[in-house]
Amino acid sequence: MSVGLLFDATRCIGCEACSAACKEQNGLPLPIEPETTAYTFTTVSQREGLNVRSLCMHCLEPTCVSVCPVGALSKTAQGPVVYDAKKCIGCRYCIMACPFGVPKYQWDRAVPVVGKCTLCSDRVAAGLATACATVCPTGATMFGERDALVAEARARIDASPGQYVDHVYGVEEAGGTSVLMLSSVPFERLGLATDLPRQPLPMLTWQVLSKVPDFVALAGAFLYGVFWITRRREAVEEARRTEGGGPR
Amino acid sequence: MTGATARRFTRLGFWAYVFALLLLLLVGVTALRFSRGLGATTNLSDRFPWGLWIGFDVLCGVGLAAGAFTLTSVVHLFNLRRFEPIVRPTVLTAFLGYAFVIVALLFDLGQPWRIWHALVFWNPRSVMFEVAWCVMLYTTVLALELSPVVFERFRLAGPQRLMRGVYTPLVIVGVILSTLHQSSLGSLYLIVPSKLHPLWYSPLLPFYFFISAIGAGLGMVVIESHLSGRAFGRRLEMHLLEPLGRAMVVVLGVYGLLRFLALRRNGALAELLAPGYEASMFLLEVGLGVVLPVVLLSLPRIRRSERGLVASAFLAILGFVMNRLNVAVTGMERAAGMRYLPSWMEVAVSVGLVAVGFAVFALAARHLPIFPEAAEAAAEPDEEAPGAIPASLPA
Amino acid sequence: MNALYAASALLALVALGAPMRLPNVVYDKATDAPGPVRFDHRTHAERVANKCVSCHPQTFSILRPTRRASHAEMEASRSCGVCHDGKVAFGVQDAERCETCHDTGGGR
Repeated sequence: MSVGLLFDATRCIGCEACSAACKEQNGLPLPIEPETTAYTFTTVSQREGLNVRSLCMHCLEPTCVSVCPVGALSKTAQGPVVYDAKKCIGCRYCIMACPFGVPKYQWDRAVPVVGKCTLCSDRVAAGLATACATVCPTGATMFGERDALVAEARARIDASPGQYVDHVYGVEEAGGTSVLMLSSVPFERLGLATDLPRQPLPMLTWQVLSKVPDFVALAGAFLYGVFWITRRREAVEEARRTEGGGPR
Repeated sequence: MTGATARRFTRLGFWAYVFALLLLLLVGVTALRFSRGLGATTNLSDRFPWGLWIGFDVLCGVGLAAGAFTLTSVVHLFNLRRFEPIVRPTVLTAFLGYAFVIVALLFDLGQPWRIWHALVFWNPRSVMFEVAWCVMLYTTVLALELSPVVFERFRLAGPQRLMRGVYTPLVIVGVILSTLHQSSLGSLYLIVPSKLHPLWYSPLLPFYFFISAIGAGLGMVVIESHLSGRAFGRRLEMHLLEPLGRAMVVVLGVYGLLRFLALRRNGALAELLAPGYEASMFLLEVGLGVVLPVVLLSLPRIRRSERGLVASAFLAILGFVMNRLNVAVTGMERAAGMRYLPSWMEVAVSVGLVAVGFAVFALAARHLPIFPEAAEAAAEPDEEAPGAIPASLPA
Repeated sequence: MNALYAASALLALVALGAPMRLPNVVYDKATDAPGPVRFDHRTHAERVANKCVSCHPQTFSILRPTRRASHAEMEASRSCGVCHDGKVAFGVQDAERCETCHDTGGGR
C-alpha cells in the first residue's frame, strides 16, 4: 500500500493553489519562488504551452536516501521520501546526486538544512491526501495508491491517444518514482530528465561498496603474506650470513 | 652577518609576511563563513553544491597524501629497506594532508559541528559514509605511525616498545584503509552518470582514482624531499628517488592507457576530436599531467637529474590536481548549465590552510626527529637508551 | 483508507467531466449580521485570473478555510478587507452593498 501523485500537465491551469497549499502545510515563508528552493518545495511553470509542476519525485529506490552518510533521508513504508533535519551534517551529497535535481539548500543561513517536498508524510500517515492534491481545482494533481495511479494514467492515454505522449513519466525512470506525470509534449521539452537509466542509481555505488568486506579480507591476507615472505627471505639471508648459525 | 645569511633572512622575511597575510585572511574569512553562512562566502549554489573545497581540498588533499601508504608498504611489507629514511617525512606530510582535509571539511559542511554524526548515525550503503569512516580511521593510523617520532623526542621507551609491536599490523591496516578511500572518492561520482561528462565518467572511476593516487603519492615524495632539502639545506637523495621516478613511469603509463581505453568504451573519443571546453581541459590534464611526465621520466638523463626529476614529479602532481578538479568541477558544469569559479574567500581558505600545513611541517621538522640526521643526533650513544633508535622502526 | 476514498471520489468527479472544483465557503452568521455570507469562489478566482496566490495562503488559509470573519478585521485591512477597502473593491462599510455579501433570505 504505497501512495503517490499523478500530475496531468494537460489539466493544469497554472493557478498555483498547490504551491500555496504547500507553503501553508509546511509553514514556509512567501513568496512562491519561480524555481524550487529550500523555501519553495513545489512550483508551476509554463513550458511549450503547458503548465508543469516541479517537485520531488519520491523515487521507489531514492538516490538521495542511498547517498546520505548519516541516513537523514529515508523512504517511509507508505511512499514519501522524508528528511530528518536533526541528523543532517550539510555535506550536500544528496543535492549533488539527485538525478532530478530536487533537494535544495538554505545557503543564506548560518545553520542551514535541506528543503524538499515530503509528500506531506504527516498528512499521508493520518490518512489524508497531500496538501497540493487536496486543493487542486482541476484534479491535475491526483493523490492515491501508486498502482491505481499508473493504471489511471494508462487508461487516459488509451482513451485519448492523440492527446498524450505515449509514456507515463515515472514508471521506469531511475527505477520508478511515486510521482507520475502525463504530458501532451515530449517530456524533455518540459525540462524533465529523460536520459536516466531504468535501473535505480544506488546500484551503481552498491556494486562497489558491497565488495569492500571481501576486499579487506583478501588485501589483509595478501599484504600479510608479502610481509611474511620478505621476512622469511631476510631471515634466511641473515642465517646464511652468520655462517651456519641457528635460525635468526 | 654575511651577504648569504642576510639574503636568507630577508627571503625568510618575505615569506613570513606572505604567511602572516594569508593567516589574517584565513581568520577573517572564517569569521564570515560561520556568521553569514555558505551563500555569503562561496559561489556554491543548488545547481553547483560542490566546488573548490571538495574538488581541491578534499579530493586532492587525500590523494596527495597517498605517498604514505605507498612508501610504508614498500618499506615495511615489501621490505625495500633503502627507502626507510624518507618514510618519516612522507608520513608526516600525509598526516598533515589529512588534517588539512578534515579542517577544510569543517569549512565546507553546512553544519560542521555535527561532523561526528557519521560515528553514530550509520548508512553503510553510502559511499560518503565509507569515506568518512576511512578518513577518520586512517588519520588515526597516521597519527599512530608518527607517534614513535614523538616518543623518541621525549625518550618514552615504554610506548616505543609498544609501537614496535603493532607497527606491521598498523601498516597493513593503513594500506587497506588508504586503498579503500582513495578509490571511494572516485566512487562518489559513480552515482551521477547523467551529470558527469563522459570524458571523465567511467564505471571504473574508483580504480582510476586509486592508481592516479599512487602516481601522485610517488611524485609527492619527490617534491617533499626537494622542498625539505631547500629549506633545511639538505641534498636530495637521488639514489632513493630515481627508482621512484621509474615507478612513476609504470604507474602513470598504465593509468594513461586505462583512461584512453575508458574513452573508447564510453564512446567519448568523438568528444575529444570536436573542439570544445571539456575536450581542451581533458587534453591539458592528460597531456601535461600524464603523457609529458611519462615521456620525461623514461629518459635516464632527466630521471637522474635533480631538476628533471622534480619538474616531472611536479607535472604529475599538476595532472593529478587537474584530474580531480576536472571531475569535480569541469565535468559537472555542462549538466549544471553553468560555469563555476570559486569566490576569493574560498580560495583564501584553501591557500591559507595549505600555508598553515607548510608551517606546521616546518615546525615539526625542526623540533621532532623527522629527518635521518636529526634522528641520529637524538640517539646519543653515551645514554643507555633501550636499544639503538633507528630512523624508523623495523617491524 | 480515507486517501483511497478521496482518490476514488476525485477520479469519479473527473471522469464525469466535472467543472473546476472551487469550494464556496459559507461564513457563520454573526449575532448582529443581516445574514450569513456566501462566498462565491468562482467570481473571485476569475477576477485574479486564477492566481490563487493572490489570497492564499497569506490572507486566507487554503487548507483550513475559516468560517468566521468580522468587519473589525476587514476594516483593519485583514481578511476580506485586503481588497474590499473601497479602492480595489467596494468597502465593507458601504451600506448599500450589505446584501451583495449577506444572504438575507429575500429574493436575489
